[in-house]
Amino acid sequence: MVEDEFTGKAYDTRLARRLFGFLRPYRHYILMATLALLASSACQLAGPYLVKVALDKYITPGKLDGFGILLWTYFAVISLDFLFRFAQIYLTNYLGQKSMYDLRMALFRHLQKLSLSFFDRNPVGRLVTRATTDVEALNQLFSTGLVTVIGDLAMIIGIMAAMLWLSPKLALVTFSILPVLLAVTFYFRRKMREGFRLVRTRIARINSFLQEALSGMMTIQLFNRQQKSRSDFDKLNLDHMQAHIQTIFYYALFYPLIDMIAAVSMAIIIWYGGLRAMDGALTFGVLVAFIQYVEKFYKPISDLSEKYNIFQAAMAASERIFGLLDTRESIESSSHSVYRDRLNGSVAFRDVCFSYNQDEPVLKGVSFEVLPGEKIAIVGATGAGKTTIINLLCRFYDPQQGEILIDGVDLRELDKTWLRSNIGLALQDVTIFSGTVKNNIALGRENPSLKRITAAADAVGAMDFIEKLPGGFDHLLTERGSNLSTGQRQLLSFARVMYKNPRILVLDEATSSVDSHTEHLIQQALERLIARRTSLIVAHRLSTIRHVDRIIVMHHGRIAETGTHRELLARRGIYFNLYQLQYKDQEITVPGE
Amino acid sequence: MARKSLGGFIRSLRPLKKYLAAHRRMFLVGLACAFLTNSLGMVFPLVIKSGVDSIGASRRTGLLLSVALLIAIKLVQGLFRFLMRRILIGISRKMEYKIRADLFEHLQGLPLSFYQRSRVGDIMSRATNDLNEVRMLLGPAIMYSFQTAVTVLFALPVMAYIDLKLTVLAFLPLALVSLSYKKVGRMIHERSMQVQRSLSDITAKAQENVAGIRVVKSFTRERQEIEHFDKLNRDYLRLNMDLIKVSGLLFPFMSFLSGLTSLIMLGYGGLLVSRGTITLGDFTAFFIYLAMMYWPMISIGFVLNVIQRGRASLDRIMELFNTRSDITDVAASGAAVPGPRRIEGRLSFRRLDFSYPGWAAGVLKEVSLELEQGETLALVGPVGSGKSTLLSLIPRLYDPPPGTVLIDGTDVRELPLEELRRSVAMVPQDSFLFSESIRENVIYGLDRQAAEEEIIKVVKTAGLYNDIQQLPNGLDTLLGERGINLSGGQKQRTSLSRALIVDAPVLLLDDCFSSVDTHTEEAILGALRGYTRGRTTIMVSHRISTVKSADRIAVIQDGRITQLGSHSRLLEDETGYYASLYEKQLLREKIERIS
Ligand SMILES: Nc1ncnc2c1ncn2[C@@H]1O[C@H](COP(=O)(O)OP(=O)(O)OP(=O)(O)O)[C@@H](O)[C@H]1O
Ligand SMILES: Nc1ncnc2c1ncn2[C@@H]1O[C@H](COP(=O)(O)OP(=O)(O)OP(=O)(O)O)[C@@H](O)[C@H]1O
Ligand SMILES: [Mg+2]
Ligand SMILES: [Mg+2]
Repeated sequence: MVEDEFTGKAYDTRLARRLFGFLRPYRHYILMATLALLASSACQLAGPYLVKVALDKYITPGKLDGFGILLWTYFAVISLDFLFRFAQIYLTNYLGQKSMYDLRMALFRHLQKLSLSFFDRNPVGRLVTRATTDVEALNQLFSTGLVTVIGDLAMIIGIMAAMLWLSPKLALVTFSILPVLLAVTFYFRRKMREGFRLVRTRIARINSFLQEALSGMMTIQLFNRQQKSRSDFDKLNLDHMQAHIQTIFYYALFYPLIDMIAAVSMAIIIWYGGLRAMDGALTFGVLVAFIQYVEKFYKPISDLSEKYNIFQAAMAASERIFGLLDTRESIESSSHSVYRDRLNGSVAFRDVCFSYNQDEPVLKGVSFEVLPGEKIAIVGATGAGKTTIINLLCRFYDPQQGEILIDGVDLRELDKTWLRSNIGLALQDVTIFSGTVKNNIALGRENPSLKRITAAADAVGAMDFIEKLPGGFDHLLTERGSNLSTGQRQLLSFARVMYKNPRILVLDEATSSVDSHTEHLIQQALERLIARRTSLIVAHRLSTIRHVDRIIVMHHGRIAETGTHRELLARRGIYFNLYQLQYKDQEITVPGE
Repeated sequence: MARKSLGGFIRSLRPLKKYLAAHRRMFLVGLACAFLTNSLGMVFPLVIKSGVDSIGASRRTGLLLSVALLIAIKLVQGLFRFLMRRILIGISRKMEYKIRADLFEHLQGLPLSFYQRSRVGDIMSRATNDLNEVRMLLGPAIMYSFQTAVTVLFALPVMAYIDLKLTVLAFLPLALVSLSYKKVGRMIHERSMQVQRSLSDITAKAQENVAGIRVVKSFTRERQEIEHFDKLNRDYLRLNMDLIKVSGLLFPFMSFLSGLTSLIMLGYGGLLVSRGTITLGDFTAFFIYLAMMYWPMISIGFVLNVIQRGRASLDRIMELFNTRSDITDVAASGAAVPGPRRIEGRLSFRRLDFSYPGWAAGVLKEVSLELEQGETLALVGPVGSGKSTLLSLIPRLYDPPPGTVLIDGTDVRELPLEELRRSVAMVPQDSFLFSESIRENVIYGLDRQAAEEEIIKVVKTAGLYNDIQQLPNGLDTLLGERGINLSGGQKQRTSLSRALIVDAPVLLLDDCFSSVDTHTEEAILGALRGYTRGRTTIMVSHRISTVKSADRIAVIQDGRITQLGSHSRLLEDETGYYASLYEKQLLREKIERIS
């Protein structure tokens, strides 16, 4: 299982390089934003200079001609500053939002490619978090962090250069405090990193828990477990808060400490510089300049540590995002994948062995052949491996041993999309998407034909209830289709398959929640509609499979019996027993058999 | 700020009041620390100035004193700053914790109908993203606005003392802020609301896609899904940029305003100095104070932004809080509740009409039915005829009209909800399992520890024992989300075991053998027979083999009970639904063809 653990590094070259790869298409924006930032800094420097000029040239001497022009210049400068600042903010946000958009799409696209065994292991909530919250965590890095860090670094270097240039000796004395600064920063960085990791792990737990509780609220309420889930939730919530409180402690300590160091630098300058100024070894102007510089020096430093958080959050998020993007669990179509114009529909399993987890074999050497157009039923005890056979046929998983052939070609050689578009699968667990009834049947196909939708709905006997829904086919269904009864949902998912009109029909208990009347109607319609299509039907109710050509009986992952209904009865094996059970009391009324 | 908008503003924050109240004293201490640390910050330039003055006058002792004072002030200021952060941010985290806990508690009380119309992704988004925005409003926003307030408070009197008119002029641009605030504030509010809503959509879409990935794959809908996600994602991008257009203005605008203030100072102040109304020293001091107010003023923009976003998010969270459960619990209403008693399990439905809230069509029509204690009733009927609906009314997943559904002669609405649900064990038609071990799932409904034998006994009754023995870790096998690593029938039987172990007098089985083969079903039914003795049981099924041995069978068609009686009685009515159902499940045709 991909845990929500991460190393918590603030900077990881490999990750950073990939992350910046997402910024590459927008490097022009970065450039422009940086220019805008520099321009606005220039404007900000020009302001004080103009004030100085005003003082020296106009106000102190009391000569006011030309003062107006200076004021207008000042106005122009602050207006330009306004424009540049806005441009910088807009540009950085734009490039940030754009790259987040790209990242989100990349993730979503990648998710569509991963194999089902991946989804078996990763809870929905976690994958959703990757595409939403984690990407969002990059927002600050992209939109404020990156460009301003450039500005901050430039500022720090500039100031250090200026100090060295003005008075190397005083500068070195001032810098003597820097090792302390580094040590403090280093110490707190480690502490903050630990806290940060704790916080992230714990919020992830809260979200997973919440997600599951919301999905299963009916169960919680039915079994009166509110108390229990409340206290479980409270534990997670409390842990999360405490992790935060712990980090707050370090942050709360860190900033005043940086401040203290700044004050000590200031004290050193005033004391040492002051003494030297008294001795005349230093001009007064240089001293004042140093004081101003030191004040300016620590602002970007404490800013940088704030940015450090942003970086850390971004690295943690990208570690998880790229971790997902790197998952190569997709079932690939082979490079020389085979397309066919038409699929005849013969299916063959040759000695297929399969297990979901390495240690428990689910299918143990399954072999069977289905001729084009043949209708096959798969029956057997629950957990015998019927659904698994279907999963393999649709290539949701690849078998560990043996091969599966369609029209004589190994599945792994076939194009995956082509394969799936030729198989119509009605799943045991029904999924309804939020949207109209129409879209749920046509499943997002562009300009669906209402005629075909109606025909599909009609064939599965869904018209009755669809007509009664407000809006009919345009009725809006919610996420879990919960304003339909279970049987109605099953009919909708069946109608989907009918609409698709595939070459191979695979029904995994597609009518298990449907009454026999409706089922009977469906069967009659199917007779017409799917004549000469290969079909594989899994069912427990024997009446469901009365029309099939052949029956495969599964037992503990092996094929126990195959044959026609009659042959199987004659064998007096598992099938015969099943049959007896279902019809034992009917023998009174049916003296036929 | 206009009084009216201020009133509305405060009102919109009122929901936070009760969370703040719990920390009132610490909050005040935190504010005091904020006050002290910021006030000391105002003294700092004065100390530097005196230090510089001492240098000018070559006074070593003065210099030493200034330097010592400097460090002392920073030390004290740092202490208060530490306390301020710790207290204020800490309180914001505690409030976040409490709001989240309350929200969860509230969500747990909401009825099924709420969960059927909401998307999980949307609720999640509110409980995470929106809550975070609200926390920003609670912590940092308060801290920064206080800093601004203190700075202005200190600088203002000094500046006014120097020259009142100049001060008024200098603060004129700030008036512009309060004028434009209402409009800009509303824009930010609305746009953040849209952004958050769009984020919800993205979350819900991703959630739905991942949850339904099997269907997406088998219908090769990947491209359409990507296109749909792309559309939502683009909307989100656009809405975000719309928001930036306004909120991104704030910061430059505040900076511009402070520049404007300096400009006014420079122009008018310069005039005053040249006229000799104020001295050059006054003028310089004025400028220093203005410079000190630069950051606090700019942070007004930041604060406004955070506050508006926080309010928008708070509104979205309050939407959840304001959704009330329509299922009222007598135990909570404070009315005199009869003491706990043993529910025997007589069930009666009296002329029950029911339609889902918000839906016109009646689902159940005049259903009247009496079940003796210990009786087993089977319900059959076409798809969508109202079987599940009837069952869901008994534990009040939906509320039946008063006086129509009774247990032991008492209206279910009059029973304390917890007691009612404790006496009704239900296996819903769709099995929901938690991602814990099978054991945890089975004993889910128990308040107490369960002995191993007890669990095994139940698991055997539910016909799950053999399957469990096949699993590598047996009962302790961890399930994936919603029991993904079990087969359909295994899920159903786990859900059955969970209901059986709670040992309730009323047992409701909603088509819970639909994914189980006949063989296993027969075994379960045999084992259940002993279990249901003495328990009132209703079982829904589409299979004759399941229902035939029930005491009575009710046929429900289009919300009405059309037939009622034992298997053999119902078969006598040859034109009835039951007989024809029976007919359909025969293999007559096939048999005839074979022989
Ligand atoms: N995703 C999975 N991961 C791990 N194990 C699985 C997974 N799906 C099924 N299994 C296991 O594989 C075995 C066969 O399951 P399968 O779903 O094929 O049974 P089935 O014949 O369809 O049963 P049913 O009639 O109950 O649907 C079961 O023991 C089940 O626990
Ligand atoms: N939450 C809901 N909101 C609105 N209508 C609903 C809701 N649940 C069910 N219905 C409607 O009420 C009717 C009865 O549904 P119910 O689930 O009781 O049927 P059922 O007899 O259990 O069917 P099935 O055999 O398919 O399980 C159906 O027409 C269905 O569309
Ligand atoms: Mg199955
Ligand atoms: Mg139902």
